[in-house]
Amino acid sequence: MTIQATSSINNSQYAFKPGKIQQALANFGKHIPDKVHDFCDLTTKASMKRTTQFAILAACVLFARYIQARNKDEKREILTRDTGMLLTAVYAVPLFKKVACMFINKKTGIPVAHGEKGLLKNINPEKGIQMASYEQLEGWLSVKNAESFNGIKHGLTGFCANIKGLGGNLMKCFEILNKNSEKTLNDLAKLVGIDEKVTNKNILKVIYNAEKSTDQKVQTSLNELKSMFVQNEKGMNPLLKKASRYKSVTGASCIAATAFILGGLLPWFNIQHTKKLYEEKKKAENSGLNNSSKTLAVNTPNIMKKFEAFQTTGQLV
Amino acid sequence: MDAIKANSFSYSLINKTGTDKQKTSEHAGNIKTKQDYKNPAFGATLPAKEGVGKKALNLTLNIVDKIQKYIETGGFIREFLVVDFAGMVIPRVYQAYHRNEKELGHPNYAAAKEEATRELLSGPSMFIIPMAFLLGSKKMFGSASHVKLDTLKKFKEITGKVVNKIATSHTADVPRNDSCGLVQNFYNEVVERLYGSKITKEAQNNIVGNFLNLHNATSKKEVKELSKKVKETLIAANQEIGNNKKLGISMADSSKISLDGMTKNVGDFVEECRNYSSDVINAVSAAGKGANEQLINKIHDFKEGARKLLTTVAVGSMSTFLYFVPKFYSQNKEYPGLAGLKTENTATPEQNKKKEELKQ
Repeated sequence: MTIQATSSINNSQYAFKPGKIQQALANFGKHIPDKVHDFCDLTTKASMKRTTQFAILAACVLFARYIQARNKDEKREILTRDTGMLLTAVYAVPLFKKVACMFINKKTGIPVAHGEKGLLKNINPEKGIQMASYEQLEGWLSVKNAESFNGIKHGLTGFCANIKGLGGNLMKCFEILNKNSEKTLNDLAKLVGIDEKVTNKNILKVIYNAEKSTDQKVQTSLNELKSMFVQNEKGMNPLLKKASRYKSVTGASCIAATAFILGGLLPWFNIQHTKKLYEEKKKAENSGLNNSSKTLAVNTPNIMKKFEAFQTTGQLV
Repeated sequence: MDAIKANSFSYSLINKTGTDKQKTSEHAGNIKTKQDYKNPAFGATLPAKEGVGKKALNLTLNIVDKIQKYIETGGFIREFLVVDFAGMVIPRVYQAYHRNEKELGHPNYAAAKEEATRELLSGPSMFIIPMAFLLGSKKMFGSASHVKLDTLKKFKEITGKVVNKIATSHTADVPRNDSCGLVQNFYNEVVERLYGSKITKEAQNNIVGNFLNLHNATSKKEVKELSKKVKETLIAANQEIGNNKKLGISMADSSKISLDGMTKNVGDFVEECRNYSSDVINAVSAAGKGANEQLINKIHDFKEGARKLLTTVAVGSMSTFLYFVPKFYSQNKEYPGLAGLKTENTATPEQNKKKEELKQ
């Protein structure tokens, strides 16, 4: 875009007139290639993309510290400590979270993550399965009041279909919400003309049919189911509380693991390893001095040869 | 509470003295059975009958839950500070302080000092430097410099369309120099592009109204509250629409929004809208009749240039600083991690002589 007809703009009483320095800086900024800007892009909270983070940590932390190290021991310690830091912070923690989410989902039937499954799709920590935020969990597993279902497409059916679509087991979820829910669901199934036992496979069909029914008994049962998802005064229901706790424990475990590996294990390993190397060196030196007579004996022929040469030529060789 | 106690008493009395029929019946004043007490819907109103272990576990889980929520809602900075300080700085400095303590006969002050300097300079600088640039840029280039480049370009298109529409419309009920009219038209267009005809006119007006309130907000508190309100309205609209590939809306993540194919987090998008309209739209509105394509181009060239400069310089400065951090912490000639390990020469002169001879 070129700036045209600036004179007409400047004639306007409220023309956009930035300061000269600001304008010069912005003009300079325009020449920065888009790719460079994309690499450096920041969020509103000043965080970078994970790939940018990785590149900066590798080049400006690991490499910079390595080449500026004072001796080979420091270099070795930097390699151990900072490579570990780089891999743990950028890759291992997100991957651990992904695995933890899948495990929680499989064991409890509660969805705590969203995104595509599959090994290849999850190699990049920014893609694939992502642990839900507390806000998302609240939206997935609870409603503010029973009327909130009116604002959700397909009401309770849509709400439950979403839980199922996220990998949740609806029967297990209802059981967490209320131990008697299975009975309520089976009774509801009978009322809507489904004679089989309600399972995770047919539960959506039962709820869908119930929502279509105008029968008073059906509506009462349906309202009972709806009320299970309603938040209490603390903004929780048993299902959301459980999901929130699982998420929190996973997050806390990640912090604990990071602290253990980066703050404890790697520095400890470095200290012990360097100490061991120097102890071995010391031992080797001591044994070398103690055996010096033997070593001298081995070298004697050379010295003798040098002495003979000195005798014959009169010069030190 | 008294009623509950009375029920519990009656229940235990029947259990101890009653017949089998009485024990299994639910008569005598609707006495709740043990099963009912286990029922969470009912049990939630009762003090849970838990063992000490379960109570302790519950308490721990509640504390962990609260701490984690506190960390996550505090954003990257809070998370970083907790993880960096509790997980890295403190344990690393502690280990460095005691490094080779036995060999030295005293704590390794030099190693601890180096470790602390390195950790305190490296970690926090990764967010303090970019944050400082972001804050500075708002004052220097206006709040629109906080808007991402792709969003800026899309907003430019929308602003251009809205300004043209107002200029060419003979029946426009909004005067050309009415700033509220321009803002309203801008947000109308944004919401139209977000949801098309998938929401009712009333819902659309509601969202636009909330955006306008946010645009006009002055205090920080007001901005925070109204941003939250807009965010909730957008999420509610997403939930009402349900899964819609064309609009980029998914029930699985209703906090995501798509503006002409650009997927954004609702919270970030609302912030970008406020940053843009309170800066660029106000500037265009202020130009009154001078508002035309050239002015929009000029403003956008400036904002886009500023945005590119801001991000590049922020990340560049942070990288440069990180690169030179070793210069700050390597103040000892010798690596202090080796203090106390290096052997002192205790050999006799004779032994040293022999050693030298061996080396030759």
